[in-house]
Amino acid sequence: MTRSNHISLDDLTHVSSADMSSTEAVLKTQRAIPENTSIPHHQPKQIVINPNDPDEDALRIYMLPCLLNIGEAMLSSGADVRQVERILSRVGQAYGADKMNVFVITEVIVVTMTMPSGVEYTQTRRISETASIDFTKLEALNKLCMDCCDDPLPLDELDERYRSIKNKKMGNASLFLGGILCTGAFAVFFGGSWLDGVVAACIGVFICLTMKYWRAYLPNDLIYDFVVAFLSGILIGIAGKLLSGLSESMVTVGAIMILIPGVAMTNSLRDLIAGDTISGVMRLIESLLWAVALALGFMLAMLVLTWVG
Amino acid sequence: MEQPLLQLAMAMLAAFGYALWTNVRAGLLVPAMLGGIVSWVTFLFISQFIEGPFIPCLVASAVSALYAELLATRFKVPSSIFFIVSVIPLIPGRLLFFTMSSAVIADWSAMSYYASQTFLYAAAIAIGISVVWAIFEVIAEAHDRKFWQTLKIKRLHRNRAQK
Repeated sequence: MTRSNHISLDDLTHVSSADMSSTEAVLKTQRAIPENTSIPHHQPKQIVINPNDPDEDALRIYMLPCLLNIGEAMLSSGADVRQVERILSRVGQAYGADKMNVFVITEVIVVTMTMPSGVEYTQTRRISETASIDFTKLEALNKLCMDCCDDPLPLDELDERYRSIKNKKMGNASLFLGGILCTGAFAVFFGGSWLDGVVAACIGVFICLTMKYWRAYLPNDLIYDFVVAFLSGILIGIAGKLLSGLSESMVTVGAIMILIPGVAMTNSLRDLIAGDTISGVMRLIESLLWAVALALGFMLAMLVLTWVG
Repeated sequence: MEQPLLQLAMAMLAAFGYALWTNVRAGLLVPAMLGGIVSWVTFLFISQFIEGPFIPCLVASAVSALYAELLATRFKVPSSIFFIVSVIPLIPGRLLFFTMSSAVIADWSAMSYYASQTFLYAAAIAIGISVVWAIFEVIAEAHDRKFWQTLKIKRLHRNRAQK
């Protein structure tokens, strides 16, 4: 970041900081520019890579970090490992690499670019961000990479577009409506009554609220699943005491369906088939542990409720 | 299982809800939701002819994987977007719950029965999608090779033009 600031400041002034009067003059001329024309230092610098004579700084400071950022964001928004490896290789090749070595497992990304001159550039990234499935983001990132494969964007523009995708937050309406519909419909789907469906939808709202407000405070998905399953189980038990004729089991099934790590499980299978055994097994065991945490949370709630009475 | 129509409507709603929950783009919500219907209709249709959940679940998951791959090619998006929403009605949440509840009341024979049934469903889904994905993996590799070839040719032309 400091580096890019440095560059843009140089471009802005083209003078040493000691020469204050000329700096002021430059600033004055800039103020005189009408608002609708773009100010020079806001224009993209158009950093491009010439494959035959690559600028080392551009590679180290823009290209590889940008690839790692995109890979990280794709992984955390629900892509499988193979897909990330494939798309990053393609982008690198489109930017002029002779050979791309991309190694992705669920926790780490290693990218090595071999340029036509034979020099290799490697950077790695440890991924510690918790996954939050967001297919709009995944799709946008995929589209960005595809665009780059067809016609490589200048690196600063690529970075800017990546940031605008990354900073787009998921809408509340979609989250809550999705939670309500999914839990409610699944409760009825698996054989519950309409009352079960309505109560399950209320539990769905509770789960969405925890997702939105508590997720960040809990250290990992395992603990999150356990806590949310336990609290939902308690709420369902209380609802069962208050409302006669409520089938607690069907409401619980509705809640399980939304908390179940379906994306992680299917991705792990896909990785296993594609030959990425390490990440496949890692993710499979992880998602099984989450499912067990879920089950333990609900079981504990049931036990507590039977003890209480 | 008494009211297939109600169940189908609920599968549709649930798939739509899951698509919203995973934040599928508005333009793709309906195709994703239809995937849920495709998989559940296949499941119901096959189970008319074949006893037990294994084969119907296997075929349904294979069909939904195929549906997801075809739509992903059509819309040029990652196929997991469609696949996960399509397969969600097949996930045995009910059996998982019964496994759990029989463990709580220490009914071990019921628990092992439900656990094996859950495993059967999961294995069926896994095998069904594996078959389709293996085929599409081959196609993706071929695309990769083609991409690399065209890129090399482009570069050759560019270098010649520069000289």
